[in-house]
Amino acid sequence: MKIEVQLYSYLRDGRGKTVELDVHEHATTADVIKMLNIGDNVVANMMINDVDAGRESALKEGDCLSLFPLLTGG
Amino acid sequence: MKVFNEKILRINLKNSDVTSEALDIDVAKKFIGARGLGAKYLYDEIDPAVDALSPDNKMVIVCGPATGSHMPTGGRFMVITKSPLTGGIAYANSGGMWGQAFKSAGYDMLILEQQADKPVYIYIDDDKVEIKDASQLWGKNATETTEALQEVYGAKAKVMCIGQAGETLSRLACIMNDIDRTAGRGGVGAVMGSKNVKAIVANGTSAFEYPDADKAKAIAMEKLKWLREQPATGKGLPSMGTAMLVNLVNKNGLMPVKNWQGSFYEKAEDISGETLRDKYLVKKSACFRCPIACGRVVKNAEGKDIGGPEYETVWVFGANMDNNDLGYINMANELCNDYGMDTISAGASIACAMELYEKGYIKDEEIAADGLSFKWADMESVLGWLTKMAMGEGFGKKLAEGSYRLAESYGVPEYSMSVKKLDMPAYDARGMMGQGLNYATCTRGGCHIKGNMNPAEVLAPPEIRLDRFATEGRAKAVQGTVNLATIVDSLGFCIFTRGVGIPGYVEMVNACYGEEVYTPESIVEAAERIFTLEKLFNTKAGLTMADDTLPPRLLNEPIKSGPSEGHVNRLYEMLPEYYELRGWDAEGVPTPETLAKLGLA
Ligand code: SF4
Repeated sequence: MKIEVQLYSYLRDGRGKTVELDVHEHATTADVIKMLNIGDNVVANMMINDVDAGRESALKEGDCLSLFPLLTGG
Repeated sequence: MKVFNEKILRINLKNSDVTSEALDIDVAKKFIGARGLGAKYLYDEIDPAVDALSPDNKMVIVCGPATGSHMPTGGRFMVITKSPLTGGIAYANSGGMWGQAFKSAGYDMLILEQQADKPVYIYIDDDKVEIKDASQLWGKNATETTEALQEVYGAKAKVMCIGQAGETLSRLACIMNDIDRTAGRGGVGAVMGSKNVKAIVANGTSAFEYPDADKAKAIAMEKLKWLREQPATGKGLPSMGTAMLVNLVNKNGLMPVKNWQGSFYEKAEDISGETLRDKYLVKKSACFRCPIACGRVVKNAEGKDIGGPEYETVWVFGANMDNNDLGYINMANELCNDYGMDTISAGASIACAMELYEKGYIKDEEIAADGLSFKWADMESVLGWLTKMAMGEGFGKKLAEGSYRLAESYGVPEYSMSVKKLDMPAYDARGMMGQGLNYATCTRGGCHIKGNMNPAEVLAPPEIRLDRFATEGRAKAVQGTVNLATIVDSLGFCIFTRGVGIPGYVEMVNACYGEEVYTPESIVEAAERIFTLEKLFNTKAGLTMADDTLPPRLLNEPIKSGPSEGHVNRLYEMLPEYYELRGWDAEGVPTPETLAKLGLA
C-alpha cells in the first residue's frame, strides 16, 4: 500500500521533505523509520494524519505519517 | 578567576563612587550564584515596593560559579532588578562573551546604585574601573555603540549596552551584549536607561583556576562529548536553531495565531527553522564555550552578517501577526536587537494592537498621524512601529509600554496575552496544562524558559511524554522543571544543556569548587530557597494570588480547531497543589515554616 511520509528538521537531509513509500499491509511507524534508514531513538514525535501516534501504530493505505527527531529549544 | 572571586563591585552613579567589597562565600553557596545570589542582594538592599525606574531601584549583574569555566556553556550571567514591566522581580539571563570577560576582571557581581546626572559608560578591566562620559554614544543603537567602544578598546573588550529603547525607558527594553545576545525580558534595559548607563565594557583577562584542573577539565570534556552526541544538542539545535520547533509545535495545535485567537498556522512551513536554514542561514554562532551553537547568522539588507531570529521571534513576528514572510521576521529581529527591545514583548504588543484595531478599539484617527496601520501581516507598518516604539514617538509610545498597559488603556486588558504584564511566548497553554501552570506562577511573569514544560509535554518520545491535557501530578512536574531552570540560571549555564540533569550539574559545579559543595538534594533545596525568595520579593512588591493567573482567553475560550481543539487551561486544578508543594499558603504566600526551613526567615 502507498503512504506519504513528511519529514522534519534534519531528517530531511538526504531524504527530502516528503517521501512516497510502498509499504506492506500492517506496516507500522517503526517499519517506516527503518525503511528510511533513520537510526533507533532518533524519532521522538510521530503523527499519523496529524494525530499523535506511537512506534507500533499501524498504517493504512493513503496515510500521511509525520516524523520529527528529538528536538529541544525554545 | 575562580569559582567565585569573592569580590563585589559597587558603583554609586550619583556621586561616581566606585568601591569593591568582599563577597560572603557562604551566602554565595546558599544561593548558588548568578540568579539566586542576585536575588538575595536585591531583596536585602531595596524595598521591593520602590518605583522600578527611580534612583532607589538597583541593578545587579552577576555571574555564577561556572561562569568563565571550561564547563560547556559556562559563560552566562544574569541581570537582576525590579521590573518596570511587571512590578515584581526581573531576572534576565544572557550568554555571549560578556559574562566571562567581566568575571575574569576579578569580580563576581556588579551592583549599580542611584542614577548618573548625565549619560555614562563603565569600563572594567583587571586593574581599573572607570566611569566615562557617554554623551557621544547616547542615541546610538546597540550595534553602533558596541562597534564604537570596540574601536576604542579593541575587539577583546566585550560590550553590554542599551539601544534607544532603553534610553526612552520603554518597559520592553532589554540589554544587549556582544551585539546580538540579550538579557531580554522584563524591561531590564529601561532600568539601565533610567540610571543613565549606556554601556558596560568588560575587559578582564585572567584564566579560570581550579583546585584540581585536570579533574575539572576531564569532567568538562566528558559533558561536552555527551552534549555533542545527543541528537537534540548535537544535531537538531546546531542545524536548525531554536526555530526548528515551529513545525512540531504547530502540528500539535499549540502555535498562537493572531494574538492567540487561533492555535494552528496554515503557513508554518514558510517560517520554520527548516526554511530559515535553507533560505537565509549564512552560518551558526555560539556563546562562550558552547558546543551546541544554536545561534543563527543571516544577512541583512546591506549584506552584512547579523544575528538571526530565535523560535519565539519567528513566532511573534510570524504566526502571531499572520505573517509568513521570513525576510520580514529577520528585519524585525534586527531592529529589535539594534534598538534593544525584547522581541517577544515588542511583537506581542503590536499583535495586541492589531487585535484591538480589528475589534474597533483602536480607531484610524488615532494612528493617522503615524502613517502606519495595524492590519494583520502589514509588515512594513510593523517595522515602522518598532522604530516609533524605540524612539517613543506617536502611538509607538503607547506600544512601548507593553500590551497590558495598552489594552488596559482601552478598558480591555484581557486582550493582552500576558501574565503579570509579561507577554507569554509561543506555546498555547490551553493544550499544555503544565505550561499554563508555569506561566501563571513564574516569578518573573509569563515566561516559558524558567520552567519550560515543552520538553516533557510535547518534545519527549511517546514512551515518556506526559499527557499534555492531564492535570494530575502536573504541579510536581512543574516544580521539578522550575527548580532545574533555577539551578541552571544560578550556576551560569545555558538551559539547552538541561539534558545533563541535576547530577550532571552537581558534578560540574563541584569540580569548579574542587570540593563536594552540593549534592543533588542540597542544590534542589537551594533552588527552592531562591524561587521562594523571588516569590517573597513579589509579595512585598504588592503582587498577590490574583497575579498568579492566565489571561481569560486561556481559561475560558476553548481552542477552536486542530489537535488541541476544545481545550482550555485548567489552572485551578493544579495551583493549590503547587502552592502546597512549595510550602506556600493557600494565597501563594510563603509560610513562616517554609521560610525558617529554607533559611530565609
Ligand atoms: S545553546 Fe545557544 S544560547 Fe545556549 S550557550 Fe549555546 S549558542 Fe548560546
